[in-house]
This record gives sequence, C-alpha cells and structure tokens, in this order.
Amino acid sequence: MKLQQNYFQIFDLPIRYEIDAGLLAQRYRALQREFHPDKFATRSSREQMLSMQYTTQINEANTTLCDPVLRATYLLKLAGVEVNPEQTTGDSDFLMQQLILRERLEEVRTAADSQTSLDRLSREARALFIEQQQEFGSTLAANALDKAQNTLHKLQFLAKLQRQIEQLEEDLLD
Amino acid sequence: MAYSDKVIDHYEHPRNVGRLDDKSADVGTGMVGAPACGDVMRLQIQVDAEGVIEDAKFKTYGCGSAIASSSLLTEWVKGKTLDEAVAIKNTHIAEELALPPVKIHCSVLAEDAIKAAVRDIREKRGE
Repeated sequence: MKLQQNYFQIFDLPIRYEIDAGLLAQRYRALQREFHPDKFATRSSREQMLSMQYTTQINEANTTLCDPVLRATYLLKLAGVEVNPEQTTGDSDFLMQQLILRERLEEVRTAADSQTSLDRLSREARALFIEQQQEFGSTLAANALDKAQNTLHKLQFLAKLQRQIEQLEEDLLD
Repeated sequence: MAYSDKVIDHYEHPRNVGRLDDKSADVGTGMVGAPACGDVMRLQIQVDAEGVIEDAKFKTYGCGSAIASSSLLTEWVKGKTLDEAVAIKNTHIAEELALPPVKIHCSVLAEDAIKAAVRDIREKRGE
C-alpha cells in the first residue's frame, strides 16, 4: 500500500460508483489487521508513524467509500470537479418534491397512525435514493459530469430526508 | 454554536409563513435549495400592477439561520419594488441577523430565493 493511492486503489476496487460492499468490508478488515499500530509497537518510530498514517488513510477511505454521498463527491473530485459547499440549486420540480416530502414528514407526528405513514414515507424515500444512485452511476460512467453533479445534489437532499426520517423513527419509539 | 437574539426571535416567531397561489398571474415563486445541508426554501411574492410587492410568504425546511433569513427577507421585501427587492444582498441579511461565518450560506439561499421569485413574476408578465 502507498499513501499516494486513491481510495479505490487502496482496496483494489474499480474506480466507479457501484461498489461491492462485501468485498470492501473484507479488504478493509484485512488492511486494518495488516497495518494495525499494535503490530508495530516494537518497530522503529518511523515505521510506527507510517502504520499510523496508513491506518488513518484506510479508515478515511473506508468511511468515504461506504457512504453513498461521500463516495459520489469523491468520484467527482477524482474527475476534477470540486463541489462548492455553498452552491445552491434552483431545480424547481425536484425541490417541490422535496418540500412535499418534508411536509409529509412533519404531518407524520400528528397522523392517526404515525408508524404506517412513516413506513410508507421511508419506503418512498429509499426508492428515490436508489433511483438517484443509479442515475449517478450511469452519468458518471458516461462522463456527463454536469449531470452527475446535479444528481449528487439530489442525493444530498434525499440523504438529509432519510436522516430526518430515521430521527423521527427513533423519536416515535421513545 | 450560539444563535443571535434576532435569529432566535425569527426562528421562534417566523413572520409570513405560508403559501400564495403559484398559478396566479400576480404571484412569483422562488424555489431554492442548499445541497450541502439539505435545506429547501420556497419564497413567494404577490406583486401589484405597478410592480410593488404587496405580500410575501415563505416555507423553509432547514436550520434556524435559514428560517430566520427567509423570515426577515419576507418582512423586508413588502412594499418594495421588484428592482429594490433584487438589490437586497445576502450580506445585509447576514449582518442584520449577526450570522456566524458557517451560516452565511443560509443568507445566500434567501438572496437566491428572492431573485428566483422576481425572475418568475417577470417571466409571467413577459418582461
């Protein structure tokens, strides 16, 4: 392993959006074992420092590749597109859909059967998220970087929605 | 992170929350979103024949700063002409609400929303 490798190369995985989660987990564990700082406790301080750096890099790479939004952002970065965090979007149709979904989430709290409404919303949100993940994968593979960036924006909104749904699921359980 | 008193006031008592009929010829609608934080904002203005904003409504799903920015903006634009409304800068909003640097983007969102709403009504009127 070299520190200059990109996150996909670290795990010897193809540089693309679709990822074999099982294989990633397996290789992550193997690398973790190989470079664990405990194994370098009796080595030179240089080797100890390197093992620390490797471990940090391996963890960062794994976190990035496991997360659908971080992975998409990272792939765009590899393709030379830096995503500006302050960028706003004016895609009215998509934003309208988001507004309606957030309104529904708000109404779940007061709904007669909260759990059923929330389950339905959760399923819909997940389906939309999967749809946009597929869209991101194919636009990136086609090197349509503008489209891919728009799709990343959608993934970000949908990820936020899913986090809010999960939060409400927890609240309802309490 | 500490919110300023003005942000808390607008967050707890948001002005002009609601919706106007976006099909109406006198209503301009601006929809904007900030992907990085997942915030969504809808800002609507009702404009008279002279191009003066009579009413404004908003709905924002986001953090306290985003809600306060849009709430303040709806107060500011009432009675203004469209030209005056698009001249409002996010820095004015950020200054008024004393937004910390990490929340400046919330005021950018509000500025983009009023610009989009004005663009919408101008398109409807063929200007």
